[in-house]
Amino acid sequence: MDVDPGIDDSLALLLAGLSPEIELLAITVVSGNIEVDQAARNAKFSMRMIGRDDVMIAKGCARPIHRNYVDATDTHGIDGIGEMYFPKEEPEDHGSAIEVITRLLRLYPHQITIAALGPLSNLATILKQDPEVLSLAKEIIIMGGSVNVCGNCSPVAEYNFWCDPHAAKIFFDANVHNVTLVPLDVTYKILLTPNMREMIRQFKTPLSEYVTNITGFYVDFHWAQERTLGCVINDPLVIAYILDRSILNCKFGQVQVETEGIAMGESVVDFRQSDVRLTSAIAQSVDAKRFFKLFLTRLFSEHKSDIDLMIEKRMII
Amino acid sequence: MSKRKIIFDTDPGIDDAIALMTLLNYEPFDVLGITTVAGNKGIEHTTNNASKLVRYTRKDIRVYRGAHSSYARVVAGLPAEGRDGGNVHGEDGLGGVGLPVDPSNISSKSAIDFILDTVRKYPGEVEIISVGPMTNLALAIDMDEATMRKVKKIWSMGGGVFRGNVTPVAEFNYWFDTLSVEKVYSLGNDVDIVMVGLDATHQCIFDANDLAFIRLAAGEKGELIYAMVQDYLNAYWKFNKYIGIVIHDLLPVLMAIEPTVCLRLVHSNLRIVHDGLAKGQCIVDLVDSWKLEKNAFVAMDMDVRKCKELFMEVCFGKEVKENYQTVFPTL
Repeated sequence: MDVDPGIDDSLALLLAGLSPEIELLAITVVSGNIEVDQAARNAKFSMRMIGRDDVMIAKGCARPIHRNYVDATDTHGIDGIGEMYFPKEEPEDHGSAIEVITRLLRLYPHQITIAALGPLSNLATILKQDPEVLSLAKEIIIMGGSVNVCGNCSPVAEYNFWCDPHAAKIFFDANVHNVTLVPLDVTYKILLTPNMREMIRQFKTPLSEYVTNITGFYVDFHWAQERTLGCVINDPLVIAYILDRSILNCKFGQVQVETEGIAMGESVVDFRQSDVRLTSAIAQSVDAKRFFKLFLTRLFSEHKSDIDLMIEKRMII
Repeated sequence: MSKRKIIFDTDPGIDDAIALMTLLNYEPFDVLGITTVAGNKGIEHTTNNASKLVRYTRKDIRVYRGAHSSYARVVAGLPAEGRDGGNVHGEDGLGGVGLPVDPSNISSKSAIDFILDTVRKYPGEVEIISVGPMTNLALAIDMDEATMRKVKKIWSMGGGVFRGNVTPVAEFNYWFDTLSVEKVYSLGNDVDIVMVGLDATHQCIFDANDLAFIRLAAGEKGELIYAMVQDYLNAYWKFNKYIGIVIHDLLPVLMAIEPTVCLRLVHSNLRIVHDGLAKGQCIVDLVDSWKLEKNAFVAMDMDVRKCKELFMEVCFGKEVKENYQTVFPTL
C-alpha cells in the first residue's frame, strides 16, 4: 500500500490490516494529505490500533516531482487524521519506499498488488530510475483523478493528481500493465453518513472510538466546503475492490494527465482508444451498499449482528 | 384575526424542551403561560428547566409551578417522590447543557389557578398542549369542572394503542398518573382531546443524519439542541436500537400548528387501566365495536417528512427548511 494518511487512507489501512485474504507486505508513505514524516507516524498509529504494527512502513518522497508541495490539512486536520490524536511514535527505519517497493517486486515477481492511494510521486520516482520494475507488479490500483464529475481541488482535478501532476503523467505515460484507476466518479458514492458514524460510535470499542474521532473533522469539512452531509471515504474502496471484484465495474480507456494551466491535474480519459497497450481499467460504477457491508463488518466484526440489523432496518444504507 | 391562545403544560425533559423552543418560535400562537408538572423530573427541575428555556427564547412569558406528584399522591397529601436522578434526560433533565438560570419569570401563582383563571377569562378559546402527566389538568377539573369544560382543545402527548415504553403496554406520561388521564378524557364530550401517543411519535425518528444537519446548518440553536440530545441518542440506541431519537412532545405542537401532519386521526372511545399488569395502558376502540361514547381523537399515522420540514421551518426558519429539502431530496 502506497499511502498518505490522511483520514481515508487510515481507514484503508484498517480494512487491509483486518482482512486475512491480504498479506500486507509493506506500507510505503508519500507526502500528500500530510507531509511524509507525519503520514508515516499516522500509518504506524493506525496499524498499532488493530495490533498490526508488524507491518513494515517505509518513507518515500517528501515533495512532488516538480510542483511546490501543497498538503490537504484543511481537509484532514493539521495532524492529517482529524486533530484528535497527533501521533508521535516514529515507525522503525526500513529504508526508502523506493527501495522497498523495488526490492519486493523483484522478490515476488507478478504476485504483488500495489494499492496507490496518495500522489504518485513514489511510483514515478521508481519509473524514472528503472522503467521496467513496475511491470513486475501483478496489478496496480490507483485512487485518483476524476472523469465525468467535478474534481475536489479544482473543477477538473482530484487531489492526488493535482498535488503531483507530473508524477501522474509520468506514471500513465509509461503504460504500465494491469493498471486500474478508481476515480472520484465512484468514490463520491462512498459517503460515510452521520447515521453510520453514530452506529459506529455506539459500538464503544477503541477502534470504533478511533474511527468516529478521525472522521469528525472530515464531516465538518465536507459540510463547510460543499454542503455534503457525511464524509467521502475514497481510499478504502480500493482495498474493498481487491477483496470483492464485484464492487466496481470498469471500462478501458487511455488516461492522460495535464500538468499545467487551469486544468492542472486533470485526468483526461479517452474511452475510444482501441490500442489495449495504452489503456487502463477505469472504474465506472460502484455497489456502495456492498462496499459498506464489507467495510463495516471487517472493521467491527464483533458487531456484525447490529450492522445486519441496521441494514435490514434501512437505517444506514 | 386574533392569535390562537395556548397554554403549554410540561415536564422538561429534552423532548419537552425542543417542543417548547419550537412552540415559542411560532408567531401565530399567543402562548399565555407555561405550566409545569413533575414527570420526567421532579417539579423543581421541570420548573427551573421551563424557566431557563423561556429565558433562552427571550419571550415575556410566565412559568407557573404545578403538581409535585401524581394526582393520587397530591390528593392524599403525600410528599413528592424522589425522581431527580439521572435517566434518559440527563442529570438535569436537559441533557446537561448549561443554560443560564433566572427564576424571575417563575410566577407565584400556581399552575392550577393560572389554568382556571385563563380559561375563565377566555372561555372556549384556550388550547392546552399537554406533554407531561396530566395532573394539573385533573386538579383543575376537581376545582372547577364547568370551567375546564370550556377549554377549546387539549393536545396531549401520551399513551399508545399498540406500543408502550415504560412497560410493554404503557407510555410514561399516562402510566405515571392514570387517574388524571381518566379525569381529563371525561371532558371528551365537551372538549376535543387529541391523543398523540407512541403509535404516532415513533413513526417520526430524527436520525443521526437529521441531527448532524441540525448541528451543522441550524445555527446556535441547532448546536444547543444537538448537545441536548446526546444522552437521549445513547438511550435510543440502548433500548430501541435506533440510530436516532423520537422527540415525542414535539409532535402535538406540530399537530397544533398544522393538523394535516397527521394522516390518520381516529375519533374513538378511550379508557385507561389503573392497576395490575396493564397499568397505564390505553384501551382504544379504534373500530368502534363497543359503541361507547367517543372521547378522544387518536393520532395513528403521521406524515413524517412533513413533520420534519415543519419543525425545521418553525424552529429554525424558512431558509433552514429549504436547506433541509436540498440536503435530503425526496425521491
